[in-house]
Amino acid sequence: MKNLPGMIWLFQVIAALILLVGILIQSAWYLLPVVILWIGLFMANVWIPRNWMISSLLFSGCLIAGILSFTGFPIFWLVLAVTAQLLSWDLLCLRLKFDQFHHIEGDNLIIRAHLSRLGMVTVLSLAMAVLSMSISVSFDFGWVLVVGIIALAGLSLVFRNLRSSNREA
Amino acid sequence: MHRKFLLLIIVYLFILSGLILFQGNLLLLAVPIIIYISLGIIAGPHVVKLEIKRVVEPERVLPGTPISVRLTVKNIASKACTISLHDFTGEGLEIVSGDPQLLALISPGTAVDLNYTVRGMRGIYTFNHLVVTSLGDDALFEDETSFAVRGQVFILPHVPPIRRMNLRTWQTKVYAGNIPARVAGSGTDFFSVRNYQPGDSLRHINWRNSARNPDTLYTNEFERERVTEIWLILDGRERSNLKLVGDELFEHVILSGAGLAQALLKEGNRVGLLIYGGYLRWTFPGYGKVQLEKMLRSLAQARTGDLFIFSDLENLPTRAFPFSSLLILISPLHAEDVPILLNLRGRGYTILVVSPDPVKFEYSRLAREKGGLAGLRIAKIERQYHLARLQNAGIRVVNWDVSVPFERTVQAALIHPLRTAHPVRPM
Repeated sequence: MKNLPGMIWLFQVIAALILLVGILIQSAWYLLPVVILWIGLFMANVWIPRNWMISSLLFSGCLIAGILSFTGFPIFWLVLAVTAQLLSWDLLCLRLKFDQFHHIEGDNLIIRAHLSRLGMVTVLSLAMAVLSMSISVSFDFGWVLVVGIIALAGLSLVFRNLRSSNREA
Repeated sequence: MHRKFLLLIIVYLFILSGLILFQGNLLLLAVPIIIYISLGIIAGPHVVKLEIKRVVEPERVLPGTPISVRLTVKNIASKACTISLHDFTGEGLEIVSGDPQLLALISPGTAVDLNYTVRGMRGIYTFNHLVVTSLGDDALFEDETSFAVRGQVFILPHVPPIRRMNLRTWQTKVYAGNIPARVAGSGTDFFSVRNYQPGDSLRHINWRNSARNPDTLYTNEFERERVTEIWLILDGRERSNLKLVGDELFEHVILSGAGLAQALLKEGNRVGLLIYGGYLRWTFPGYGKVQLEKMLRSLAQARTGDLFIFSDLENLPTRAFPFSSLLILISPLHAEDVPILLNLRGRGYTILVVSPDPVKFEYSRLAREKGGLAGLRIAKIERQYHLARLQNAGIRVVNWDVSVPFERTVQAALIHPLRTAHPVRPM
């Protein structure tokens, strides 16, 4: 529990460093307002975490990464930045959850379970990023069609899963 | 915005913009989030199997007494689960210590306790369900389940200890009690003198009378004491309920009802209760401790009401009260109630009115207002006039200043039995 803010800080700093370096190298100064907003949200989250601020932080971070991907900045670092953002977001949500309760049993176990899940996400994401650097695929209409169909199928699957209703035991 | 939807929006923004702009890099940026969601779906929160017990101690308390609520939640599944527990306390209960919420990771076969303490005002409070939210190991998926774990607590009204009341009625029941039955028999109070008959106790011979008449012996007779049927009628009309900050006149009505119920039942009487207000809440007459418990529970749940049909005592269901019964009306009284009570008296009922004084109750508030003292004086004179009318008709009135303990007022007012004239029934 004590290490949770430190971990959030660490992941957020990793994401910030990558994105700031990207902006500097690519001279994408037009992204500075978004970056300032993003840093402001992060600082605000440290003091008074709110659900909407945590969501905005992730959204704005992903937006910067998405725009930077057009500038030719190496995709591996951008995937790393998005992953760090995601981990930071997850831990911020966990911290928000913890703040709702005065009494928590086994808080260290809960954090450990979260971290093991996040470790899997990090390993798989980076593996995909490394794989993408070694494999080159020409992105034609066929791929667009396949990815589009997979995206639609995934969307329907996710929506079915999301329809979790309260059950009376 | 819901977290799941936020992630979906980001993923689909990446995918759609990547597809539209033919940018594979954007598709790749969506990959970490897709992996995160997929892992969440695969190993999402499973259905929890829990064994839950609730203990509420004590179940019968007085207002303001701390009540301990303990929930024991045991994981009977084969996997550990992270759950949040949220217990809903009854409305009107105030949490004194502890927290009705808990976040816990429970290993298989182990249990966690959720403890908190509440207190509240008079009433019956039920605990119906415990909301258990099963959390996955991510920030996405939560499965909320409501478990029916019932519990109940009675917060009974304070019962002022009343030692003895001297009441009289015109008819009594057959069982021995404390109410003079106007019949000669075994008792303690002198009733009459009659000629000595063989078998009479020598201790009861009236020697003074016998000395005056040397040829005859006389015996003292004593008044038999029996139980009677008594109906407590509580005024639950909203218009009778004056409210000050943190105090209500109706609470004093309830308190006096509880005190009278206990005292009358202790003396062996058959007592019933009617709460007259927004509804008619009956507790049919009975004897003993069970009846007292019924009445206290009824008083615990009593609320004022504002129904037009019961706005005055005109619709008091008098047919339910036998003529032999004693009616005790606990009410602050309105001017319109007086003729109805006089009519009841004329029909043969013995009536006792216990009236918490609304004028003195409001004194502290109204005395500060401009013209308040003059108004109070007028209200006091008006009230005195109405109470005098009742007393002149043979209705016994206990005018209770609620700042004085009820037991003291009642014992002072009812220390001597009042012999009331036999009512004349209208032809």
